[in-house]
Amino acid sequence: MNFDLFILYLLSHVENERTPNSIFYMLRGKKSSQAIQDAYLFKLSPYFGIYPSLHKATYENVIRELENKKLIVIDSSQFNLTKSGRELLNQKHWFSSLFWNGQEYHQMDQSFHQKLLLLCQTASHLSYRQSNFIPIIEGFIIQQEVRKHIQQIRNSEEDFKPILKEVYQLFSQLTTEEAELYSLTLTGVGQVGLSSEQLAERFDQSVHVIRLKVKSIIHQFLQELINHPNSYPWLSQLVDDNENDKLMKSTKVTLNYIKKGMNIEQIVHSRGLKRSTIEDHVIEIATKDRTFSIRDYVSLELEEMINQAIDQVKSKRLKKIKSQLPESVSYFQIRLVLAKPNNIIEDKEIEDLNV
Amino acid sequence: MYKTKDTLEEALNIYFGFSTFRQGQKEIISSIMKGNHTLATLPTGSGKSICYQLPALLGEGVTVVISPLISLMVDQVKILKSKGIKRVAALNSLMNHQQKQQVLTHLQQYKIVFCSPEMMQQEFVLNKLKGCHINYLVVDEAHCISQWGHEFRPDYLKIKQVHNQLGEPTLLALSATATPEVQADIVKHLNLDMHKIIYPMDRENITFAVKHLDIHEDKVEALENLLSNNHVPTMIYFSSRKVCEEVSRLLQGKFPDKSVSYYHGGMEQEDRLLIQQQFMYDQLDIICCTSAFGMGVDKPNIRLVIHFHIPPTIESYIQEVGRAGRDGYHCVALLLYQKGDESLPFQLIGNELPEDEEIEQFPFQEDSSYLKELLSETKHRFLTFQFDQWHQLGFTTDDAISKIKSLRDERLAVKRNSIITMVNWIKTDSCRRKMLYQGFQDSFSSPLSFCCDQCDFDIDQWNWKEEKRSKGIELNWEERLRILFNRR
Repeated sequence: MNFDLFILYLLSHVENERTPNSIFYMLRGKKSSQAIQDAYLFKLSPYFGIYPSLHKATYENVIRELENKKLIVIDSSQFNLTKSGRELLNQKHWFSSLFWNGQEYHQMDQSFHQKLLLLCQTASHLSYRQSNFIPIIEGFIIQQEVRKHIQQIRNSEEDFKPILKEVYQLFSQLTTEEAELYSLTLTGVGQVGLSSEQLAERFDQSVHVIRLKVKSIIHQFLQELINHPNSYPWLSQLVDDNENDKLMKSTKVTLNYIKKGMNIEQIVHSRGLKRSTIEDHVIEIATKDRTFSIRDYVSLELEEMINQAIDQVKSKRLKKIKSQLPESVSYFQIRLVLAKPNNIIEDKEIEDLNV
Repeated sequence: MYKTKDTLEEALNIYFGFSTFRQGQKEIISSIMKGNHTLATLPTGSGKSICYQLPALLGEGVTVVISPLISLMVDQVKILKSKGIKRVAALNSLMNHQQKQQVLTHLQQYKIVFCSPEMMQQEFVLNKLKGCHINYLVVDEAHCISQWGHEFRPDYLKIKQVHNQLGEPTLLALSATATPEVQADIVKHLNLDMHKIIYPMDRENITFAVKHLDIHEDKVEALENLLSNNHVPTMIYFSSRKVCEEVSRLLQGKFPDKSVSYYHGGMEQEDRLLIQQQFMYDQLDIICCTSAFGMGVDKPNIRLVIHFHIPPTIESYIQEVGRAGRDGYHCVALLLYQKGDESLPFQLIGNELPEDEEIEQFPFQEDSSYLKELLSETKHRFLTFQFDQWHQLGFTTDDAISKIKSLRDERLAVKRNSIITMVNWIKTDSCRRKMLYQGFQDSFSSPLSFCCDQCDFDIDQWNWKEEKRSKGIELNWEERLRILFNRR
């Protein structure tokens, strides 16, 4: 009944306006402009695509059940909630306080979840010095990404304590029930994760409710990691941030170092790359990530000075700009200021860089 | 060089962590390392794969392993990688173009490449293979070559051709279930001078029993009785997914202290992996499953294998009970039989082979995707292969149709007979051990413990003294995380 109630709640948003099936497509995250627009129109965006594996037969059963219990009335393609249906929704329910952000996260939540599971499994086995185990996630791309991630962690950390710290911190944001639930999905030394069916049995809840709760936990994690990346230097990298995704592989590595508070000298040193390469990375990041602050490299005063110079020469040619500025201002600093999205440089002018 | 006696064992220890070979392994390994084409049979669960994996790792070049089932090859790759042997790959039709290319481009860097028989015949695969030094060609589950085998795969008949085109590298044909008839058939098809290494298939540590029951509920009750007295790692095989789930739930309800779960091909892949590993790591006591479970399952301490339904062939029965007692200790195989149970496998073979009408219409259907939807995968594979073959031999479509019909009838007869053999085994009043293996060998080693319910065993009186119970999961999430990251 708990899952039925949730569906009833969603249905209440679209009664008289859409068919009962519209909610099914919305939950599955159907990529049609109708479904996407509806989600927005009826304030259902948080639920968009949060149950992609929902079966049609399951959904139809729920609808039939709601009809049988006289909670909704279906008339040709239109439907309405009955009085008792409406009253039922007035109470507080299991989902009332749960968080989802389907609109934002439905495309990345699955891969994030898989990466987190595999990262935890790998870190667990390595913590026990077991390098051979059967990965719980089979996807080749996920495995490769996690493998690289683990490599980076091992290169710069002594052990996996920082990972445990971050995981623990993430879990602390959850209710006890949620922390219990999600910790049981993890696999590593000493435990193999439970399937949703097994979780359902253990918590004596329907498998649908369990899946939605797990999804809610994943969305809470995503929100926390996206809002506070600095508190989670390692785990935040598991998020397929769209901005981040456009970055070149080597640039991502540099970004990780920056996030850990290293300056260019230190990165040059620990990566064994040329200074100009690392500078290129920083510029790439500044170009593609609007939220990236260049303040560590260019002070506000200097930025203004460079902007004035740009205006003066009415060009984005580096040489001309530099000639207007004190000797101490570097090409790198000028490029950084130019890289900011409001200072888009034309492709042609980039050739100047090699001068 | 790993030619002397000691060093082979040393290599075994280095790569696989075993200090000694099991029966037959060394003889087979030595045979192919000397360059003999070899046909070998070893009982299920006795480490067949070591026989080619070790030589492959020790020699130069690539070893190609032809394997009939994709799930089997994926598992093999996974298991090898988990043992730290990383230069292995699979090539099969489930991979996309990019993944195949990835493997093919780096072919020479691999030591072992698992390949489905249909992939082997693809021109671009074959060409790539020709450009490599092929160390060994291994035909796993070699009984698939024979029409008298229980799992005949027409694609296997083309292996001969592939072997020729690759310049006849040393070939190893392996099977756990090949009757002398099938063995002869394998040698005939491959048309090679083969060194035969045949080991008996009987497993001395398995005790056999059958219980005849009147109705479904009696079977369930028999299960409950047996499981309430015994606490050992248990597998229960079902032919139906639905019954498998039902009984699993029922048993879990009945035994809240035990951990019971189910596994079948209709589940999400991720859940299947979890359940399989839970069973491997003793987190489950009882697993209810269909024949989809078991590929590559190498759990050593399974003590009890129960069949709730009858398997379609003696061979699949031998294979499934062979999952028990891989550690060499005593174990029990019990089959629950209810009159009329054989009707289910009889129905199933009907679904596997094409009807007259399907054979007649097949050559005239233009749209192949339509056909694939209409026919089961096995039917489609059978018909595609047969029509290709007869057309190549210059037969007209009409002649091909009648040839295929008679071939179909032969296969049906083979399959019907094997169900009848299975039922006869269930109903026999002589020694079950002898009867189970007599089609494969003449002599038997004496059982380690009890033989069977016809000789000296009474399942109702039986009780395991030692218990092995599943480990529960830690109490609360904080404790769980600490254990997971080794921070207790």
